[in-house]
Amino acid sequence: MNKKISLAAIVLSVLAVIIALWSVNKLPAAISSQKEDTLARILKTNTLTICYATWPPSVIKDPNTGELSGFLIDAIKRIAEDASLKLAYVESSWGGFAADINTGKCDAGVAGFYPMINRSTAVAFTQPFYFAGNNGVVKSGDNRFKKIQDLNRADIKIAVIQGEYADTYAKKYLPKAQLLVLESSADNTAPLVAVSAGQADVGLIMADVTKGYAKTHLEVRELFAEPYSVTPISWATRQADQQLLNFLTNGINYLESTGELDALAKKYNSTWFTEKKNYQLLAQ
Amino acid sequence: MNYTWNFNVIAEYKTAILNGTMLTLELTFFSLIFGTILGFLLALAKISKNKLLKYSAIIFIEIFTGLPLLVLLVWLYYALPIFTGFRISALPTAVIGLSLNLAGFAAEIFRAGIQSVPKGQTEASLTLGLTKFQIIRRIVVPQATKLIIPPLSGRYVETIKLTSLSSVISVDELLHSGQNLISVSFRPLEIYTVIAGIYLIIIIPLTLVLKKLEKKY
Repeated sequence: MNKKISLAAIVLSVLAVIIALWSVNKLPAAISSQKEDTLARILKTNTLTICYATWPPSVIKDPNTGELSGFLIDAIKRIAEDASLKLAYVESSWGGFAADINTGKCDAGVAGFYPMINRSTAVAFTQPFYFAGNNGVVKSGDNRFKKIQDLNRADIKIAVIQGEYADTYAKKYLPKAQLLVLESSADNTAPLVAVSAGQADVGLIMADVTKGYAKTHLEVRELFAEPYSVTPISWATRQADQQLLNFLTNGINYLESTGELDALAKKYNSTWFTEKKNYQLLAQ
Repeated sequence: MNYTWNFNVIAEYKTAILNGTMLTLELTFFSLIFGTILGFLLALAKISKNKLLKYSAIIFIEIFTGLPLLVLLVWLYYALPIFTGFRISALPTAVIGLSLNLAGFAAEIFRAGIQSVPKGQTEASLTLGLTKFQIIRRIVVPQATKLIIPPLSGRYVETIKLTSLSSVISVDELLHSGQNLISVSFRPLEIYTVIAGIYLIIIIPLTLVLKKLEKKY
């Protein structure tokens, strides 16, 4: 009996290795094999399915009713309305949105996505249309830091979320500091809670989170009065769906040109930034 | 530590917490039902004389007891649709993942319980003219139950706790509802404290009931 079970274990192990090797070769081919014209299907079915990840005030999910709001959600609603499309929503996560888009769970990702180079190899991003500020929190009485480089010391412990902008930034620009890298599925206040709980000296995350957290937690304050850097914000589609990407980009440009996008951001008290554009008459 | 606790947010968002709790219970209920039935069938297959059934059961059990549930859930949700083209939403994925995980462990528990009954008793019952069904019902099950209930109870309680892993695939169970609530309220410590309390409220009475059952048998 034991011999038989050992044999089964060996067969299983061999099988597992074969499946794993096969998966490595098969996966990219499977992803790139989706050749369906997504925009044509969307227009035919009148339904645009979007993946969202909550990050108030850009994407808010009412905890009691589950209803979605936020200025990015309102923006996509406006675009869908003008194109006579219905919206269907799929909840995603920051770590899982590329997989959700590529596995066809949705047509586009609508949230404050940071179009990093490595992410751009997995999904296509619209032109950035906003810039989110980055800031942090420290204990209320901690006045050691005047500029971001003051954090680059071996005795400073910085809490960040894995894969988030601050994680990349701290690894590149604050190499001497100790990093407390929190799991990517953690909620967005996790680096700030680490400061409240005394687990880290500084918690870094987007400024809209630090602002809200510092307002409700007297034991901490915002690291700086102004964000130490900004992160470009885009929406995402599958690499092959360039027509859908154009459609979304045109939608965003239209809302920007009519001033509706900024009006929506203001309605939700966004702390994000926009580029100031100067226009002048060609004939001048 | 000079932290100011503020639990007002809980009252404001009690519907969200209640909905999350209900979904956790729903996930648990279906996973326990499907996992137990599948586990029992796998146990029968593993002790069967049919080699195909036996080795299929062994392979199944090895896979689903060997795979970490978190990896299984993520694989089912993200990789399976690519391989098969078959899309499945988050909640059924969580039920399937939890059921498969429970079934693997439950199968071993059922098998150990059934095989603990000495073969001599079954053979003696056959010579006395009892049918196979009568032997299972009157001889095997009463004795095996005593051995099955304690470890199976442990797995059931474990499964309730494991439902929280489905938050990684965005199932709106208790933990995920809490995380959404945190993004709105910025009150993580209060919300995680309440979530911990709710898990205890669910698990402690269940543990007591299962212990009573253990004593009864």
